[in-house]
Amino acid sequence: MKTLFIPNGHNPDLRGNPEASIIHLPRPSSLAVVPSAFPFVKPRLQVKEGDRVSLGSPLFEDKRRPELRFLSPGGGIIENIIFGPRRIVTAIIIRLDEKEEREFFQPLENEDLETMDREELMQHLVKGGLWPLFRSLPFRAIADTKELPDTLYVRMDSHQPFSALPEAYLQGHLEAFRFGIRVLKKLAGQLAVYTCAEQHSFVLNECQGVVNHTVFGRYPAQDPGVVHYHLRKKGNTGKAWFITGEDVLLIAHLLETGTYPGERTYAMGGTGLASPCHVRTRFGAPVSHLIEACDPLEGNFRNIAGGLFRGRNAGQEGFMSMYETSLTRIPEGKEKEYFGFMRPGLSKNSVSRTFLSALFNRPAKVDCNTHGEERACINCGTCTRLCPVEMLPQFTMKALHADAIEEALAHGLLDCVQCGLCAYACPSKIDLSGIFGSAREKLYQEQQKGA
Amino acid sequence: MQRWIRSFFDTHRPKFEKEGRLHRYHGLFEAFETIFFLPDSTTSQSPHIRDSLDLKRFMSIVILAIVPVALFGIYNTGYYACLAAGESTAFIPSFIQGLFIFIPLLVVSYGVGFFWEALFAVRRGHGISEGFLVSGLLYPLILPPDLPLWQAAIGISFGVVIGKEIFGGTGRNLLNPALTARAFVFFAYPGQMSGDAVWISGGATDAVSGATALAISAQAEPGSQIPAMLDQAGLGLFELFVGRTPGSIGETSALLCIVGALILIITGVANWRIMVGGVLGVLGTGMLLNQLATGSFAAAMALPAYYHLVMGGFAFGIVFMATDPVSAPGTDAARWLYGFLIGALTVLIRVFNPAYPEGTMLAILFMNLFAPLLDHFVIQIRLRKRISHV
Repeated sequence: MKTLFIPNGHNPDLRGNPEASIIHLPRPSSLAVVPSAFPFVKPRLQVKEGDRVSLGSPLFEDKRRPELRFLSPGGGIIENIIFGPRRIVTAIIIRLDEKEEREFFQPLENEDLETMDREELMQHLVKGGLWPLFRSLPFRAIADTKELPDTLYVRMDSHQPFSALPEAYLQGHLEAFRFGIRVLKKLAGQLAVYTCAEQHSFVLNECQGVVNHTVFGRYPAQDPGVVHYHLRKKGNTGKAWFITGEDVLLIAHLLETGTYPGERTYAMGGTGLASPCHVRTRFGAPVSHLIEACDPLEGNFRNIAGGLFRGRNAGQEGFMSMYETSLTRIPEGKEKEYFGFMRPGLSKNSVSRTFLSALFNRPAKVDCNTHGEERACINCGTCTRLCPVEMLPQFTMKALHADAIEEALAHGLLDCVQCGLCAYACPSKIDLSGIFGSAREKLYQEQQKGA
Repeated sequence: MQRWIRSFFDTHRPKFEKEGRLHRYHGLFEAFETIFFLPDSTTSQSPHIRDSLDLKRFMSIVILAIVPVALFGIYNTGYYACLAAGESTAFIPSFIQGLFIFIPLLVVSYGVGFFWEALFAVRRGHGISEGFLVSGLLYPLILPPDLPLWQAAIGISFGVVIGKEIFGGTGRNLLNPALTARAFVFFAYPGQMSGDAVWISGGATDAVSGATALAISAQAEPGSQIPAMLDQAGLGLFELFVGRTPGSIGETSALLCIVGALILIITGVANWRIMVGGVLGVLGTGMLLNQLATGSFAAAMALPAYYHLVMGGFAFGIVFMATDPVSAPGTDAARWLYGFLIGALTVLIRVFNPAYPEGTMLAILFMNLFAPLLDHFVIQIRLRKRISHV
């Protein structure tokens, strides 16, 4: 087992951590797919409002890569297709039937897996609509089916606040997980399955022989991009894909049962919930359905799907997308704090030691307030101290401002894992990760055009 | 109180908004409002949460660290003024006398400085940055007590406009604005900025020597024992460390600079590498010169290196000026080197250039110019080690 130590990063100690217990929720009345949550996908709809769909029937495909299929998470009638600005499809809502029909795919036995070749296995996953779970570095786009990656990273747990615990999502699914790992072994040159050792002895005990790397470090040490960066230091490890432990279960479900998986375990956290815990419900369930299970508080709260640092604002009426396994509810914080910058700050959340809270080990309450106005970069170097892939974010940002793309690339723009820590900690409130994100997106688009 | 202030800002806000007749001054309005209330802006995308630290607090911590030095400086200046005037040198009268000297300089510094800050902010449609709160306080502390106020005003104007605003304002300046201001005054009005006469308010009388330790050291004949001369002038090592000596208002006490340094280092607001590098630079260069000193060279070469740490403005400069994050380098290796070179240059200027007995100011300004170059080299080395992404 390889042990990896990631020196930089940050774990904020926050109130509202989910318990490991799981609540099984009844079926919601409607489900949705959120196409905009898939990176770099231009959806071409294959259904229209009023159509009848079944669990696992195609809803849309990618215009650029039509082989990518995106399937329906439930059976029923297409109730509504919501378009955003420039007619981007933001949600396809399905009202569930009493008796949901489902598509059947060919199930695989253990023996089939031994004899089957890689191409055939891949076709199973593509047809089964789970190929988008494989993402490739550095752009985190959906993996290319024509590629053979040297390494496939399987991320078991995340340090991002309030994310799903392996104890919770693996409970009762260990066999499926092992099967899923056998499937993955066929797909890539080598498999790096890793967990954050200091947190989860459960994974190490239960998945002996499967987990082959442990990672020490703070958020985002577990990120595949970070792990890749630090392993790569010892020589070039070439093309890399990644998938999360939760998603391995979905793949196992598809191949074992021959049906599109319908359920997921979500971690529910944040101070906007009276009883944060894990819930198990349908894929693509409405946000309101999930939070009601955890006694949401009344008030101006934001529901964030996918984590405080890299998630999206799912709104009050939104739906969970395919990649998201956690939902966090925290106050919007749209208030003007009286003499905010002068307070001793006994319970303020900060990377710095400029508040008295640095003296006490107390979980802090957070909200979405920016806690200050945007200012020019003063070169304080906080971002550099946190960056897990050893970039110099302040210099990279300045290079991008000057349109010096080559320089930004040399600084490691493509190594950026978009953990959001630089923007989170910047005292000048500069949206560094947003700047890097849009630069990376532009680079990806240009690369696609060139290819 | 809170509600009253809130409603005051809420009633006047519409005038400064888009359609209001005072819209061009909205930066000014916001600068005042955000002193009382943090803005209610929220994040729009990930990361959804932001650190509680903002530049206002960042700069406030620096001010907090300066306060002990400033209070002692006020007392010390007042003490010497009372001594020169033959009045009571008890604590309270000295402190009050000091306030009478310091407050006008502070008011001029903040008043004139804010005028320029506000002018540029309004013209550019920017907010007013907090950076000036620090520069405006540092500047009067490094002035001699009797500097005519109009000279102080011209100095700070030069510091803010030429040292900072023409580069684009806070965060974009090459030079430390407070030091730029002081350098301007130093070269423009040498009569009021150097010599023995300027360090004690009311002018030095025969009873009170106005010579600083640096002046004594610079004027010493080759072969003379400077520590003994300093002791004789009442400027022993202990007095220099505590700061009961004539000098610029705030820079005499190394002891309180250490207190400020501790505040800055513990809170992480200033980079300790620059300070430690600076001290190492002084000691290293000083000791090297001690080794090379012979009778025919400058006497200051033989001065024990640790004297340089407590003499003149070195402690103040390395703690509060050199650590200004904007004009200092942004990479750790460069910060070590930057600090070290400031220390080394300070000693070299003090020892070999009697025209400028105080080397710290020039050393920091000089290294300010080299900070981007130091960063450049460090970054080049870092980038060479990076494995490019395929």
